[in-house]
Amino acid sequence: MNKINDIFSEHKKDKSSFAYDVPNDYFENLNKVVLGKVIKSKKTPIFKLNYFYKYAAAIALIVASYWILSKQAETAVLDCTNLSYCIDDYLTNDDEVFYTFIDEVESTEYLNIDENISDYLVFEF
Amino acid sequence: MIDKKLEEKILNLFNNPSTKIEGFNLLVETYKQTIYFQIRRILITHESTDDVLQEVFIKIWNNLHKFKSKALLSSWIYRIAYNESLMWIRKNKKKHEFEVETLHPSSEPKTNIFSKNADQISVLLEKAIIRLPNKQKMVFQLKYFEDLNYKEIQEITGGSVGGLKATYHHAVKKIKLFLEED
Repeated sequence: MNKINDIFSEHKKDKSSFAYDVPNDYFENLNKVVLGKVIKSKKTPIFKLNYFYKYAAAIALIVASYWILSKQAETAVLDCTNLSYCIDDYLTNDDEVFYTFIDEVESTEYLNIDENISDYLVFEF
Repeated sequence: MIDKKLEEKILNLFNNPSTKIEGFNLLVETYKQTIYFQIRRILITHESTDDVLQEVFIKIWNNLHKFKSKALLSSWIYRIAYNESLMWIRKNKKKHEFEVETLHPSSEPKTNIFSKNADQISVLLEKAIIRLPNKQKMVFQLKYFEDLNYKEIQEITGGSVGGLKATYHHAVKKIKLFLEED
């Protein structure tokens, strides 16, 4: 064990170890290589805000988003007067098609609702 | 162990914009071999050591202006090197395990250490150190090669002083067992 301790104290001085293969001139060139890299590397600018500005920015973003969305919603609101005209036009167009293919006399019969109902009741019951 | 005056000189040069590069050069010149072998003992191969070493120096360049001179500059640098080495191992776990296995095959013939010359003993000692777990490896080399006290080692690796003493003791025991095997 004492001999092992001697080995320990002897090799303590040897920090750069023979046990590892290091390429020739590696340490001589290392300064240039590292300096080249650090000068080239550019830190991307990071804009740091303190807490107050972060929260203010977040709130402003939410308010702006709400405002934009509500603006878009307004333009989608229908004008009721125009809507009823639109519906009437639609129905008229539909009736036009209906009346084109249906005979006038026969087509008006369905409008006598009361007679039709009583006929229905007589026939069925 | 690096002296305080040299560290102060490095910091003064680095913090002055006109001598920043000179200060950084002096830092690299002073620490490159120590840090290289510190990392090499953990990562084993030269290629990975070279990558990590360059990363360490780039981090030092980017952060040295934030360094508070209360602590030792060398402790701060060792800590960066240690953390970068561990991060590399985490990212390259399988590769690292393979490299460790390849380096000390169990079929290696055993001969009496006292019949070897100094270089051979050095190789054996390094092989014994490589076999240690990473934390034991780090604590051992900081205590044995760098002559740091446990307080200084604590700043680098963390943990309690008592724990570090136990870690070093176990590391020494394992190395001695390996060297005595015959």
